[in-house]
Amino acid sequence: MWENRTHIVMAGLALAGALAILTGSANAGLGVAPLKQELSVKPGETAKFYISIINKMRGREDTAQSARLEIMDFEATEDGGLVFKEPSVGPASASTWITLGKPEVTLDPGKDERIECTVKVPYSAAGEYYSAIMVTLGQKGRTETGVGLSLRIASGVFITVVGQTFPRQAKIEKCEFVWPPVTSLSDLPKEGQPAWPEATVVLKNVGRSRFEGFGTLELVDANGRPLFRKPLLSKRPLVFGGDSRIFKCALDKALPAGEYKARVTFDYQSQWAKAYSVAPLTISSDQAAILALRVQEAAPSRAASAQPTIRISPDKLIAKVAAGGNRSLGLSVRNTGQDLLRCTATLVNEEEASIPDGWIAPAAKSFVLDKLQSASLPMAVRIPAEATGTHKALLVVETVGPDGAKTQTKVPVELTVAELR
Amino acid sequence: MREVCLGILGCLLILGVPCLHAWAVAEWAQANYSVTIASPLIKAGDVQSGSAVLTLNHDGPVTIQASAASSGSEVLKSPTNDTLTTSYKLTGPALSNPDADWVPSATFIAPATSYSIPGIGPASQVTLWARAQTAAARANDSGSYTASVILTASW
Repeated sequence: MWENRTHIVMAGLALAGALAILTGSANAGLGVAPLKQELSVKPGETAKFYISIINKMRGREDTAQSARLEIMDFEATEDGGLVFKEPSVGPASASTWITLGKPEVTLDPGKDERIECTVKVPYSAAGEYYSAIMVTLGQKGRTETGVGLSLRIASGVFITVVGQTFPRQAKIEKCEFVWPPVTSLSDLPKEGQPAWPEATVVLKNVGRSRFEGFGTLELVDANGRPLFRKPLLSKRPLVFGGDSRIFKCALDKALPAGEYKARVTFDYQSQWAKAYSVAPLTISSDQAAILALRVQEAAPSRAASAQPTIRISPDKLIAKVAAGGNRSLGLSVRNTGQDLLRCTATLVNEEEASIPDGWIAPAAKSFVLDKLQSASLPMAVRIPAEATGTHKALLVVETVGPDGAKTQTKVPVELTVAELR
Repeated sequence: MREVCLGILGCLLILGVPCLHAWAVAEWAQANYSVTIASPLIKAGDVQSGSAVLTLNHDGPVTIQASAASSGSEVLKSPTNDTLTTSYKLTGPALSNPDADWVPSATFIAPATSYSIPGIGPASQVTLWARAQTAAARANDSGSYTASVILTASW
């Protein structure tokens, strides 16, 4: 069955060639794909997965490159950093279950190697487990006076043990506002980026299942009017079971002095609930004056900033695929505005003749586009052998700008299955 | 205009494994880096620095963290184990949280500091800076001072 198979989107030599052209680099290096992978395995079962090491061709002087592979535990810190550790039998560690096909690899220029790994899940396991495959490049930087560098790439392996499911649960632990250390208006910086007051929110995963947190801060005045709304961002929105994560946003809008309610809402990928908290916030007349001044200082740079806009091409995806066949489709997504956009791509089925789950897999469900940046969004299409007919769906690309404003662009997708002859 | 690819479909493999998703790639574009502090430190309180531009090719958000190759190896040391006050910074337009100022070596090392590249590449350049300062109230041992740092790119 298609659902029971792996479809791994692997960076191969196409990546190597494309990036070599873009970077114009004549230096050596190694790539690792994927950077993270998720596996679902039943208790007591053994599964295989793969990690690819790539030594792309850059020029005639390229040499063979080596790397060492090892399994490591990791933990995430509150600010989203990762701490890599020796393998253990920690409560969420899958390290002792994983066996690498080989601990070292040496690749000639232009070659890549797919290394088979095995994970054997104990019968007693339930829930989610994590480990990392650490790939350490063989060459080390050396200098007679200074700092020598070693380079590593960590590839995450997230294992979900099929069977018992654990609900996603989250709680907002803290919401506080930090004002820059300004005692009087004369202390304000005259040049450079203003240091805005900052909201810091701590979201705790009180369940056993990981989730990605998407938070919003809203300030409501004494009359119930919302005067400020902005997404809360984290360096790592993925929060593992039991972990807490810091999310922040800058208070970069002029607000009158007064009493406010700070409403924080977090979507943590639960279909049942959202995390919600309300905290009082008082903005003094001094703080209101500081905000107004800083907004005024930032005005020239903001004037150049346009509303977040997105352009997608083509505006329709129509493809004919043989039953049992596979192919790739692609979209180009461009941020034509001046602000960073957070984007999510979701396939939404229409009522009739829908595209069944698993037929189309976008390479990325969420991604970030910097100002004026474009991205191509490839999608792997695989059609079961028994499929027939024409199937339709909508690919919905939703963007969230820095002020929380959302836009949606819908791209019709139509797949016609050609019968096998 | 920058054109990038999300999860490159270099090849699509169908494998008999119950795996769900496998996304993104990261590549250090060079395998051999160092930050050379070429100018000599002559007297007490002298400060010198050096930098290296690092290229990371990637097609999804990436985090960079520094760690010590061995305990204390992030501090510049002489063959006689004398030390210089060592600080670092990581800068670059791709970073969401570049350092504006020098960061003491102990703070620079993970998990105290991690750097986020929220974009999707394809080629993000970051600059690693290292700074050495001699002791203010004594003469450091003469000789070459070296340190060793690991940079890890992760999902």
